[in-house]
Amino acid sequence: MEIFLATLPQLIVLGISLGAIYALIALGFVVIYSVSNVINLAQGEFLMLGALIFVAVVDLVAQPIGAGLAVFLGLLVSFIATGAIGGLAYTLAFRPAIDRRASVQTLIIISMGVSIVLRAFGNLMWGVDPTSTPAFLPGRTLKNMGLENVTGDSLRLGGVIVQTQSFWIVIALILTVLGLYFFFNRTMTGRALRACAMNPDSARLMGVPLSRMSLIAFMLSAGIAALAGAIIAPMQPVLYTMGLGLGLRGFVSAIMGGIANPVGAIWGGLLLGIVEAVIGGLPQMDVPLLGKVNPASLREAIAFVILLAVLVIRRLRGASGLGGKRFGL
Amino acid sequence: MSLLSITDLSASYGKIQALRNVNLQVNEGEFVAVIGANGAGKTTLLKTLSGLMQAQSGQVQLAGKVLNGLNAENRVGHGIALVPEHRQLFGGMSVKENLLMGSYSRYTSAKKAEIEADVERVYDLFPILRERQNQLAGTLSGGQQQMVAIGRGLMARPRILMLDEPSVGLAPLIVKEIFRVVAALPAQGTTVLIVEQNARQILKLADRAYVLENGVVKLEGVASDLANNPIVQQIYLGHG
Repeated sequence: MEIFLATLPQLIVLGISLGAIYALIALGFVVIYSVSNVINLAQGEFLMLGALIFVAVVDLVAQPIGAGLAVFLGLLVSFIATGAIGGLAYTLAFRPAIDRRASVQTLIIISMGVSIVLRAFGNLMWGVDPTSTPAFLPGRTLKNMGLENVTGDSLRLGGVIVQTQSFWIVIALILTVLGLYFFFNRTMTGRALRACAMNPDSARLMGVPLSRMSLIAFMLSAGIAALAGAIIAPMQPVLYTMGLGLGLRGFVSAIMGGIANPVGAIWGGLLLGIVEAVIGGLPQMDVPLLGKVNPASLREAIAFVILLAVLVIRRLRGASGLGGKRFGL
Repeated sequence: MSLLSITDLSASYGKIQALRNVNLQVNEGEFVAVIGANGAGKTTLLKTLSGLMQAQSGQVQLAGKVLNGLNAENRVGHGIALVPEHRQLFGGMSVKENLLMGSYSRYTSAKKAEIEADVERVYDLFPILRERQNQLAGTLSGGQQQMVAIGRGLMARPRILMLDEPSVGLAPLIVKEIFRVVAALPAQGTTVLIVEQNARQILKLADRAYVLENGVVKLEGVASDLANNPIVQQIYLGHG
């Protein structure tokens, strides 16, 4: 237990960087749900495609144009290409059903179908072998800059070791939130998206075309998920199955925040990341009836347990989540 | 000249016939009222005109252009705006954002200055909104919300503004203030078609009026004549 307490700051730092990724995925769920009432379970697949496209671009151009520029170009291409795939998914799979007033359940099933298709596409295009990409800011660059406390691609700050990539993750979350805030509050298109979320009929009376707004929401959400995928590409194996677990965690984060509440989704993501990291770091315990249990092996189950708990609480409270404000970004 | 021309318009909710062969004309620069009891089809009429509901049969023409088949989001650009029943504001947006949303159909970044000037014009009509411009619309009083709803409708610069029962739930003094502003609109270039239960007041202000009953136009004529019509007096004005 003492060892656990000593590593707690380390676990929380790890949790924040995991949680920032979940928060980015969760924001995608919120944007799509708010505008078009679709719970898009293919969000994780957008992330997967974003990561694979990013790695492919970096592999292709790192030699000729240098690693730094390659990362920038990779992020840009990944955002645009995945956004386009998101738009295509909306146009081909969701829009025909929405135009026929499909139920929320039907739309969820469609999103499952879309995610299967996208996973198969990832498999066909990039095969089954995991790939990876170097950290955006490799340890040796930092060493060359004269920093002493560098091990591999990690930085030692006080007693805590932080992967350099974690900084990029948090920066990506902050920039995305600022960008979305500007977009939703300062541009006419962003305001129109919020208007659709608040009162679709009134928005139509103002001349806002609902289906074009849904298209924009899908493209934007797919693009955000792609950024999340690109940012974690240096930290974990990149392959066609990576979207499943991450998509689920993003979904749970969004539900924790109230599914239509972007601020809640960010808190939900950070909380889930920290809880996962801390429980994963607990020492082995003796549990009556079960014998020795290693909490790290329970990590995978945490998101499911939280999802069930939130849904039960929601039932009991009759509310639409734990947060309140709808689309209050 | 007839600006809005409605010919044999019928509309239904499934098997329930809400409008039956309604004929109605609104001339440029007029203030026309439609009165009738609850469930007479007044709201259905405005929903069908705005495109939120599609007509079953009949024709709607605005300045000679047939609007049938156009969706709500496409009609507003042709110059017809609806201030819907119960205001239907964007409650989580500020007063100013609601007004800006009203200009969506004509918005381009080149027109920003012109649109800001129109926002100021709305503030001149309803000065209290200038003070409240950064407040969330959902937190305003009912009267102020109605002012935002009317202002939002005007922001589209419509040729004809349609209002669905703007007086519902408001204190008499506020109703008077709102009617005063609305009645002045035709002189400023915006034709008005208003639907009201508050027959007594609206017949004093309107140029002409129609009486709708069970989805059918029962009476029509100059507003002051209708106010003196014995049937109207008995049913809608509560005279013996």
